[in-house]
Amino acid sequence: MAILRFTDITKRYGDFEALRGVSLEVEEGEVFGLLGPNGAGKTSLIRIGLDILRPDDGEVALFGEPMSRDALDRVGYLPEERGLYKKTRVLDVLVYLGRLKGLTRPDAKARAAHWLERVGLGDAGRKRLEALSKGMSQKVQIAGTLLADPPLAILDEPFSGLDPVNVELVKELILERRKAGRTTVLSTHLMHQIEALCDRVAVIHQGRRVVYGDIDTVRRERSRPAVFVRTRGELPELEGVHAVHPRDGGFELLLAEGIDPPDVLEALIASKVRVERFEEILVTMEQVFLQVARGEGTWSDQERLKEAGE
Amino acid sequence: MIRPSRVGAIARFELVNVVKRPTFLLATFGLPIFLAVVGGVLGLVQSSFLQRQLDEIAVCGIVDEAGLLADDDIWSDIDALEPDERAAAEPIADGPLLVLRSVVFRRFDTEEEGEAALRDDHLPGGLFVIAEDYIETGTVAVFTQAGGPVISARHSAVEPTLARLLRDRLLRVSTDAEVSADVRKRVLDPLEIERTILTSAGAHRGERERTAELVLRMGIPFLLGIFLLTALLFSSGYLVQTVAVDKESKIIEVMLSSADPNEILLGKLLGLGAAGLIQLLVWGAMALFGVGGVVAYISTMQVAFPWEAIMVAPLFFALGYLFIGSLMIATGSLGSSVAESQKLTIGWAILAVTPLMVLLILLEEPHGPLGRVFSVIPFTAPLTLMVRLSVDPDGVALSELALAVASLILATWVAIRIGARLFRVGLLLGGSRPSWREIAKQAKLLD
Repeated sequence: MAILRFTDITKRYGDFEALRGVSLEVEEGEVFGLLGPNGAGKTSLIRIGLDILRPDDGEVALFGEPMSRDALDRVGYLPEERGLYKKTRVLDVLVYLGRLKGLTRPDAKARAAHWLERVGLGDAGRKRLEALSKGMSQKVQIAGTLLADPPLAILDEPFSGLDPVNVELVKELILERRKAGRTTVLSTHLMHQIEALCDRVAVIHQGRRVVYGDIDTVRRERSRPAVFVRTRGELPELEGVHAVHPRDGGFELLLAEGIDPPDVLEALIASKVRVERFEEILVTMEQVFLQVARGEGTWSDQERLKEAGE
Repeated sequence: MIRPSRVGAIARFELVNVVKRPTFLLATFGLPIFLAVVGGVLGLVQSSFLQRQLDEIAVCGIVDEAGLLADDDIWSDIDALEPDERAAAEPIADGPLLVLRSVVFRRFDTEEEGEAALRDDHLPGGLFVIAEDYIETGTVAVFTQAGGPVISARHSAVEPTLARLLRDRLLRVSTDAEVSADVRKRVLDPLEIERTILTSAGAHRGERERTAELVLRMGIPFLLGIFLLTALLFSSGYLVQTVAVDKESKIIEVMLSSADPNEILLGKLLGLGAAGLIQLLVWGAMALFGVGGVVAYISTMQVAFPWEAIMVAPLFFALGYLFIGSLMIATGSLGSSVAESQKLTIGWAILAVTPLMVLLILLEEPHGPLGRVFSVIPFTAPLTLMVRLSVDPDGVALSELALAVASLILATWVAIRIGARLFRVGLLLGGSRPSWREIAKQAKLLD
């Protein structure tokens, strides 16, 4: 079931069109990556998904139903630009955030204490927020977002300001949520985290959804057909290989159109050469992101353009 | 639909947050304590001054046109007086004198003689002329020198003494004959004072009472207006500050994803309103101690105290606060900085005290067209009604009060609805102030 569904969302600020007919679905239990360059329209889309902003056109469904306050009670949100009441004690802020999500006061208190322990701030409850470091405040905010154990959590740049240990902690929390069947929408510029955590992604660029789907499929679609091969002995001549480039003690083989990597592997085995390493070369999410940000098309688009002499 | 639990959670948080602030505690308790210390010192100085005045012997003149004090037995010459009484009566020692409870009365045969002594500053306690028809009317004319005090402890001591004297004489006169209805009435109510101040230009009647009444009837609504303005300015400070903090810290996005803007706005209004109420209650309670004596003193002066205005003040303050406060939050959230937000909100507070700007018209014609129109306009209704109730409570119909309450409730409801939309837009389109067209569009005020 789609936990969050955007259908044909358009949002304008004056003459500027921030979102242009964006549609996407976030499925139950997955970690969904929402990516895009700065100013692409991600935050607007997230705000529309939380009923903070209203779209000019299009519809939003939350938990399979039209937007409602009750549905929003089941969503946790960590905004990109964040801060808390500096003069207030950590525990009081967490209890307040829990109460805003409909928890009773005793329940909110108990959960706040539990979550502070969980993020390694068990002894910070009585401290004022201004006494905490940036990273600690960040963890308090993450605790506040997940306090009510929301079926859907939208985390905008949850890793910013965290050291590698705490990045691991947050990753752990996200993976725990997936294990428990909870849905997470993750927006970050750390592409390796997207690759490590997300099941599916959408990339928004200039208000449009330009990439959308399963993360492997996205990478494959954006990669030119190529494999990396390292053999003991000389690399035999292989049919369907367009070009061979030596690299890292092996060879990068560019495949002709219609040739799949398993065909190449089969040919290598048939040639009796000893294969030490064989892997399909796929673009990273970072490369996908850069392609999008630079306005470059997919590999096949570029090839087609080249062939057309443009 | 507004969920009371969310409104309650926000109100509680805002209240606790404000109440715990050192500045709030300082303003709530520190300021009155400071004022109490200063007031206490001044009070001590004043009370010792008043006591000294009361201990002083008051010398006044008396002209008995009614013949009640004709009996020579009650009068004596200066030699019969105690030394301090003698010293006080020295300038007017050439006539009959009577000493009663630290008041020396000097009898004059004619009003002109008495006035001459008064003009010569020999009668600091004033000149009392008992009218010829005193028994029927109770009229006693009191002449004092121009430039005398509006409120004087010495004057207050003289009149009860004169009343005792007259009552005593009335009873003596009546012992042999049948007590007439007029005499009985006079014994019960011996003084119908008509005041006159002697100036170089002539005489002005009843200045003291008129002044006191004017001070009260102008002062109470004026004070209430200042009180309302102070409460609104304080609240506006807190409201703007909380909105600015929410906006700057971006926590407002988390709040808006959890609660409806109506709930947030109402919660903030109630929470900060409660904080303001605590502050006013503490101040009010402390002020009661301070002004209790003054109120008691004023009540002896037989001027009508505007209780009606004071009774309805809390209701209209609360409604006025909710109405103006919701407008303040909404417009305050449109500012890009605290300073700009303050500027945007201050206009509402000024609108609320507009009646003070036309106070003279309202005092002159409390139930005239302006008074009646201002009484139903939500901005001006609270203060206008307080002025009208101060001046002439009987002229304000219950239906007018009900209409004002209804108009304020309706306006507050509308203000919260529109305010909540502007609040959402103002907070989200942070950074710079959005254009009015964008505000209207985002708030769905325009299609």
